[in-house]
Amino acid sequence: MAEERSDMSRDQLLNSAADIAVLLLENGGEIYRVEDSVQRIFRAYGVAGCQVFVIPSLIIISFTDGEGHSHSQIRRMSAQSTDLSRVGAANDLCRRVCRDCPSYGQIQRDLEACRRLPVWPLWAQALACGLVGFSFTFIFGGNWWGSVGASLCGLAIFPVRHMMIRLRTNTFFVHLAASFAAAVTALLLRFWGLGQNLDLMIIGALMNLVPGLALTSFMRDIIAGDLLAGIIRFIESFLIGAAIALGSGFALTLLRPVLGG
Amino acid sequence: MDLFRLYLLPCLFAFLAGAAFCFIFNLRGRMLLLAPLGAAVGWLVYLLAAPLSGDISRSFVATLAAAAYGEVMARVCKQPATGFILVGLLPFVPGGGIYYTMEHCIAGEIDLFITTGIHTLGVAGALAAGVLLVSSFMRLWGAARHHFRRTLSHKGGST
Repeated sequence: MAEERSDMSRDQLLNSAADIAVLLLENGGEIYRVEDSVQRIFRAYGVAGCQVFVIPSLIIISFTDGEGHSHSQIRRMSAQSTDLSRVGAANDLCRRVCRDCPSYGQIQRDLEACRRLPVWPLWAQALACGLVGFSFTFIFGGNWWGSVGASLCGLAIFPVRHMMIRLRTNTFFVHLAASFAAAVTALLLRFWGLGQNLDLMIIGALMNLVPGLALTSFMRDIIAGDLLAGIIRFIESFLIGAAIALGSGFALTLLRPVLGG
Repeated sequence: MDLFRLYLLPCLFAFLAGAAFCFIFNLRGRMLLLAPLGAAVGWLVYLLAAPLSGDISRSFVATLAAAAYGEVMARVCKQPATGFILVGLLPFVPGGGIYYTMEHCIAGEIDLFITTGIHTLGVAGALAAGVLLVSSFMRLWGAARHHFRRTLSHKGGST
């Protein structure tokens, strides 16, 4: 086995690799990217025969050093969010680590910097939700007033979703509640005479909630050979779709008799 | 004028929707401009593919365009492809299909419920198949290029 190129101990190396893997995975990185990154880091530090197994909820890294000691680490992933600038930063960090083989302290400092990357302020995210509703209702054939109504429905989605995620509710319930809020807002708006086409208003706002990442990444996982991860993501996207349908369905059944429709 | 209303305006709004999603997914800098462009390109292809029969094949063709744009741009910008593909494909995720399926279910129209449900699954499948095709092709191309370069440099070194 080759000598290690920096003063990093094997456990520190394992820790750093696992930290980078967690950062990639929890912010929406693909499975193969996570596995590949870990392999590259170990190779860069001259450790051969590292085994990595990643699914959306778990990371397992294991290797045996020259003296025959096994080192392994398991990281259980809880909630995942989508923060693509962090994925990009973690990816850059991984490239840098593979090129320069920095020390443990340096990697930890860089990781901390990645974790502290800014996110868009809440008001900007809320406005973005409104803009999504507005644009999609327009694209799908709504008129201007319908689009304005959909943007209000989109605005209603954001605080509900944000609160539910804060309260650590599961993904299914987050989407159910947010979709309920959007449909209720649309029904009220129509009741007050803003926007005639209820369906288009709700659909435009619901585009905020559709399982885009799960749907597009499950196929990419499957191509890369990560069948298990692909199946998990497929089921996730199916559940989210069902939650969206249920949420707006509840709202329509409960409120249609009251508000008309 | 007709061109503007039928093609340019929807693409502009697809771009806007993509840009809005960039705020939600925390994309920054030049990604804020480049990623939504994939959604606009995809939507333009979707509109131009109107002669194709059916929503499913149209979504498939549009997905091919958006995914190809994403994969190429990811390599050009040295960024993970996820961002580009995610934002580019979002307009084609069948949110409307999910909604109409639910509505038919509530109304008790079982025939329509099943038809719409299967159609929605079909559109989602078209999306997945489009991504599958483009990503597999890019992998193949990357591997072939890598292989070709290696054999070439190997021969060059030995002579």
